[in-house]
Amino acid sequence: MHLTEEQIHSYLDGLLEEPARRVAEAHLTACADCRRRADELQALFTALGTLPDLPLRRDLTPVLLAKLHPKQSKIESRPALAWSRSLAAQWGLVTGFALWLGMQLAAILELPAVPLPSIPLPVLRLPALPLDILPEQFPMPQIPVPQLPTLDFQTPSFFFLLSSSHLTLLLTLTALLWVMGNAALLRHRPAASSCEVPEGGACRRIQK
Amino acid sequence: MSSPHERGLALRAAAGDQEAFAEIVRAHQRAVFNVAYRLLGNVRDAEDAAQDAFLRAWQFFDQFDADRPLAPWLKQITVNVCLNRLQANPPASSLDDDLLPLKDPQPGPEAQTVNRLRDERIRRAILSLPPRYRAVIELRHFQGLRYEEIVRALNRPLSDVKSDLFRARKLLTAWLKDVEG
Repeated sequence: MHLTEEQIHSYLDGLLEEPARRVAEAHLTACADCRRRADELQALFTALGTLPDLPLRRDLTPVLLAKLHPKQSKIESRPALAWSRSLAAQWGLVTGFALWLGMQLAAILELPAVPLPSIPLPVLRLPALPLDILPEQFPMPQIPVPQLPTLDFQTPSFFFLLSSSHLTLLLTLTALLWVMGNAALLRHRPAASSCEVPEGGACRRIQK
Repeated sequence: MSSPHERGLALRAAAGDQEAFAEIVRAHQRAVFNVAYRLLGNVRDAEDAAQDAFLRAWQFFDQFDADRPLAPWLKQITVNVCLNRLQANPPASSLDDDLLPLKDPQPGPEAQTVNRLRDERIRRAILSLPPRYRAVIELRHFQGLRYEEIVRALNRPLSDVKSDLFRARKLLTAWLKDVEG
């Protein structure tokens, strides 16, 4: 009866305890077939054990140092960042709720819509060189403009009064929430899984 | 047990000292690169994986027990990084001709040439194995881990580890016997 594969491997790995080790040793002395299998494995162990390390083509240190982030600032910045994000989210929720409540109250009390501040247009008007300075030399052609049809537009009314200022506020609020939602979704996550770094044990890495 | 110098470096690196970390990289980069190369079989991938492994180490240095030696920790991170890479991008071919640039362009005496060819055959034989077999060969034969340590490192049952190790050895023996004719 020959030694099993596991017995030979365990013997060569030094895992067999007495008396199993002595039994295997005696068998290997007597059985040429098992000795040949053990010798082949032992030759492989020697070949693997004497395989020299290859030289590095380049020093990895400069590239690595360029990729490092200062650990101190990384550790300190995290709680502050989390706190500010949380504050921003709370502020956004409170503001949103206040606006919604205000709109509801305005609708119930039938308050007039808040007029938007008028912006004096001349301030925004930029000088138009050909028109302002050289109108005489280059008279602009007069193009007859056809009369446009008048549109009958009525402010849509839902279950509450939606005035232009309400609409503006609603859009602003939506934009604000969108930005904050994105900020929450794109929050910092560590690039590496701590699982790759052995602490007590490592994670399973590979599927059979 | 780490040397006092290495312990000091590890503690400084854990506190965010880049100079200490650079010294650690310089001391261990060749070993880490070789672990990655044996698992990936490609110089460029091995360099990338070695860098990744060092960056992971930097990121989690505060979890490292400075009383323990650094090399096994760094090598195990490298194995995990490489296995993740192999899992994400399984090798199209087992053998990679990227071995060629690493050959010594100046052939030495005959004995050296024979040894070099033999080494190259062994590397190719390892790369002909499926990734999970490479991993157990790396951990057992190159890093000298015991079975139970491999079980912890790979988070796999002992029976799987043994089975993979025995099969890998059998394949390597057959491959080498076949090549050496």
